[in-house]
Amino acid sequence: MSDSSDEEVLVKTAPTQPSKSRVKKKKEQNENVKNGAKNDEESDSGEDVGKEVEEDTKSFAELGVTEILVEACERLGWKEPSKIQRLSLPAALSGRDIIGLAETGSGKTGAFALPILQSLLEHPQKLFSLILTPTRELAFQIAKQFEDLGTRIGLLVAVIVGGVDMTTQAIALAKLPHIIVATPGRLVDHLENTKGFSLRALKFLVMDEADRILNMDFEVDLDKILKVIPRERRTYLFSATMTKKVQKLERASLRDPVRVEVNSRYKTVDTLVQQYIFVPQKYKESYLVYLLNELAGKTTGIDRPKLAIIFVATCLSVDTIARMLRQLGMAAVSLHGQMTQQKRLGALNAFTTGSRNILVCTDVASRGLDIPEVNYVLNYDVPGQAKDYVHRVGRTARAGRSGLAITFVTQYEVAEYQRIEAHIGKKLTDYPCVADDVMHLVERTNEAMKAAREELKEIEERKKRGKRTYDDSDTEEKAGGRFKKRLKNQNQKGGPKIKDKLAKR
Amino acid sequence: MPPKRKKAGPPKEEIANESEEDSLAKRVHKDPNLWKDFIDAHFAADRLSTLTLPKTSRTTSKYKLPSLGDIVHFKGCDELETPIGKTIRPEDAGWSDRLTLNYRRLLEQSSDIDENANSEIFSLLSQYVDFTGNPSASSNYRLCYVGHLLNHVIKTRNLILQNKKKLEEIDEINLDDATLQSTRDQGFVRPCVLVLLPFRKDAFEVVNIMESLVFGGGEKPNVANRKRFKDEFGDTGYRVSGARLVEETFRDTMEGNVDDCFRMGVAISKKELKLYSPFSKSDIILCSPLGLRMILNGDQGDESQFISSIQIVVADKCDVLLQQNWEHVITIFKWLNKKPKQIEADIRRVRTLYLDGTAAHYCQTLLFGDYQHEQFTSLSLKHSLSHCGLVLHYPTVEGVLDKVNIPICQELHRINVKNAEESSDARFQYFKDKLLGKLEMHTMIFIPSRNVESFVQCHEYAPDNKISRARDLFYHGKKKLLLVTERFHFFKRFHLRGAKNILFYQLPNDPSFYANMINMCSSDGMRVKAILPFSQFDRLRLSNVFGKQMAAGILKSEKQIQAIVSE
Repeated sequence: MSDSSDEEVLVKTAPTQPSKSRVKKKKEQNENVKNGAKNDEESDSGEDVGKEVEEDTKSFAELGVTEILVEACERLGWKEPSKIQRLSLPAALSGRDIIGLAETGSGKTGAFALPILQSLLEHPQKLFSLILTPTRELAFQIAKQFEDLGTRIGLLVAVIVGGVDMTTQAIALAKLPHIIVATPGRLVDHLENTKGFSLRALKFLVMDEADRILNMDFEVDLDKILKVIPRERRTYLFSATMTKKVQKLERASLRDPVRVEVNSRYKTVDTLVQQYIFVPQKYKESYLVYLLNELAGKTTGIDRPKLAIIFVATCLSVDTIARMLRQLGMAAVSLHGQMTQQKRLGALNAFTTGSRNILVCTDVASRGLDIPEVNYVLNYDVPGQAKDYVHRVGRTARAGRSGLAITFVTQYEVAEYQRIEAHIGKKLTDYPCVADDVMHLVERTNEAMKAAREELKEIEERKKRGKRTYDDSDTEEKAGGRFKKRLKNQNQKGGPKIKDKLAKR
Repeated sequence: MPPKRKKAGPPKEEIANESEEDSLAKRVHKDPNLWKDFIDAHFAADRLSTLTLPKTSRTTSKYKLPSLGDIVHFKGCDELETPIGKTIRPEDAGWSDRLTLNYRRLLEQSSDIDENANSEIFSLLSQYVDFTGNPSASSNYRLCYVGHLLNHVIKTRNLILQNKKKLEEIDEINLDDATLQSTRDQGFVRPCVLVLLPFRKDAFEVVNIMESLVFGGGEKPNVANRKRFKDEFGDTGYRVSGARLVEETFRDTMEGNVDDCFRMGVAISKKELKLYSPFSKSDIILCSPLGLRMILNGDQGDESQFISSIQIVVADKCDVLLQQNWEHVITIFKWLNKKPKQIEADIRRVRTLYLDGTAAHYCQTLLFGDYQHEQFTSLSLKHSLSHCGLVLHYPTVEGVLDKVNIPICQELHRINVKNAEESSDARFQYFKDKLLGKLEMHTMIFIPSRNVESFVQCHEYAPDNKISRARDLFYHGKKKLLLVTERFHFFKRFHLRGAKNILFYQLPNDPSFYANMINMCSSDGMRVKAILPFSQFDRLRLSNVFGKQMAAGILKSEKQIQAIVSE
């Protein structure tokens, strides 16, 4: 992998792969495929040669995208291809497998959606493509883009994620959608339990945030999925970060992939200002409140409230801190993995529309979320892994906007923090603050904190008494405890149960 | 005992059976296949949704059939293939030869049958229109609907088996969209017919009809679990004492196996009628409202998915179901054809109409009762959404006044109510303010549903000793009033003596009870006084009692109190 930390663009393909524009003509494309195949026999799949691509500004049409899809792109406001699209589209349209290294928000979805749709237009077929993503939010985001692109061509997209009722999804699958966007766990659940659902005719597999899919508990599920889909297929792998695991997977399920890389190596954008703030553990909350007040006071020349994301280590502290902030009159919502899907979407919606301007969350939200207007990212707890840091701060300074990321470092977290600094290869500056001002806030913050804890305790007790009152008060409606319980059951049964249905295949 | 349903293992023999051609219905020989027209009709969702509009906004047409009398047809999505009034024979409806033959034979065998009425009902049913009506017993409507639903089930099964065979021959990878679409032939679950019956003895009769229709008279019927069925559903030998002076109808209703809690699946496969098949492998569900209600969603389980793909629902003897517990019927209809919690079929073969959630429009609803009632009408107006339309039956009713044997003076009090919701409050208010004070000694108060009042009461939940004490106190004049509920009369049919006057809090559901109750009174040669408060929402009940014409006159009259005297 390249060491360059600059915005350098690399395409690595087989040596004789022509880089000139592969325009429209299907015949020509077929030829290219043939050429590619031949060449690949000679070159080892892992071995690739870097080749600088001239800074071109080709349009979608020039890259080989058919007219109807170009129109769709225009409708979506995609005027010209993003870097990752420019690099991956020619290879993808010529029928190669792709490994794409790029951040979300760089146009990744378009980079795999367009070739899939184009191929679908040529050979219409139900259950054509499967897109796997690690989080439910991401799944909905991707599905939306597919739907937007496919409105004119009658595209059917199904989202298969946890936390949503199985029957509704089974009905969606029964309609035989062209595209399935899924999280691995629930998909396996359907493969095992929904009669008649099979992916044996699948033509495309895409893994988004591939490293995450492998890092978490998805590996078992993924293996099950790979077992039941045809080997004869095209596979795209997209990820912002590359791990060894991905390389392993690459060998397992890719065929002569083209590697496309938009400046990886934990690149952070220039418009992003990164700072840290050294705080005593005892007054951490007060510092947070102080900082939020400070940031809210800054003018950016925009009327709408400035959006801030606060990353916290655990689900419990997410709840506590969100409540504490609300006690102090701030519009905070929480988002973490223990919430129901409905509430997660609700919270996210409240945040993106700006009706709440502070999102308190765990690492669930660290990847993939594309909310361009986020102004601040606060790392209330230092992330455990350096990679997570990059993902977290990547939530701000998106799409050319400026952004500020501040990491809280307590006396106990210095070592972790230094690891991160080493990883991103940068020394960050200290965020200046007036300690006296913070001390003024201590009393009020502690009161709010106390009230927040009591609230949570009360909820906990009510839950124990079996009443369905899990009141997160983020949103108006109360989520039923029943629903939560069901969710839990589902999560439990997901793992070890590989049913005879899969075994039969 | 309701049949225990087990999670069945892989049905080996059944698969073997199914792969062969079903011999029950060999071939369909007529082209106008009403069954196919019904189930394969594809209407756009917006056209179907017009069916859920209030019925007043739909096109209606009135007919007078020679036998059935007045009917009103609410038009469905399309005109009917055969206009109402024209006769459809089983062979026109695409029935198999064998089924037709057996049907004919059964018709001939049955004594005193009104063949015209029978064929009028058949013509309606076989066109898949929803029907709510009061055919007389002599029309043998039961034979009609059993034959109709057997035809439906057999054809549905045959299609499914054919398609199964077809799919087995094609490799999964090569399946094209057209094939997939053409093999969508089933619902979320297998049961496609639901029959609600009040008592086990009714189920016994229905199964017997099925048997004779499927196997005819000649061959040996091949029925699984026949013995067990006979033990559990056959006659228990219970008889109402011959010494009691009760009407014949009471004996007919209450004698025999009157257990009202049962549910049973019936499956039809190659040359066999399977009773007690697990619901997931049944074509027909036969049950009492109570029996089904118990497994819908409650302590007994949550298996509402079994009625998620019903294509014909029959509620037979609605009048008895009304006396049992109408709530259950309403609950069942509420769950009917809703999105299931669990899908048992192969999702690639589920019909699009189920996926699109338009199942309710592809379901034929048949309600049969002895008399007209606002509950039956309201149920069918709400749930009869078949794309073929709905037929309401308004037979001419003569009233029951001629059955009253003693001289009476009927005092009719008009209660003015604006809407139906207020009517029960208004009625109570009127009763309290205007009537209660004026009641004389020896007045019996008849209440169609159980009410909380402290007099001596005879209601269906009271233990026998309490009832006899109450009757005694009332008879000897120690208590002024006696309250009787309709269900008490329905189930017990006791003769209550000592009443000289009677007040009908509301007119009875069952019109014949009006005469029954009055006949119990005796006023030593004087006229018995019957007081009946009524409101304009009692139209059906009034016409059931007084006959259509007289009821119309009563309702039209402006007078607050009207009196009708008879000798």
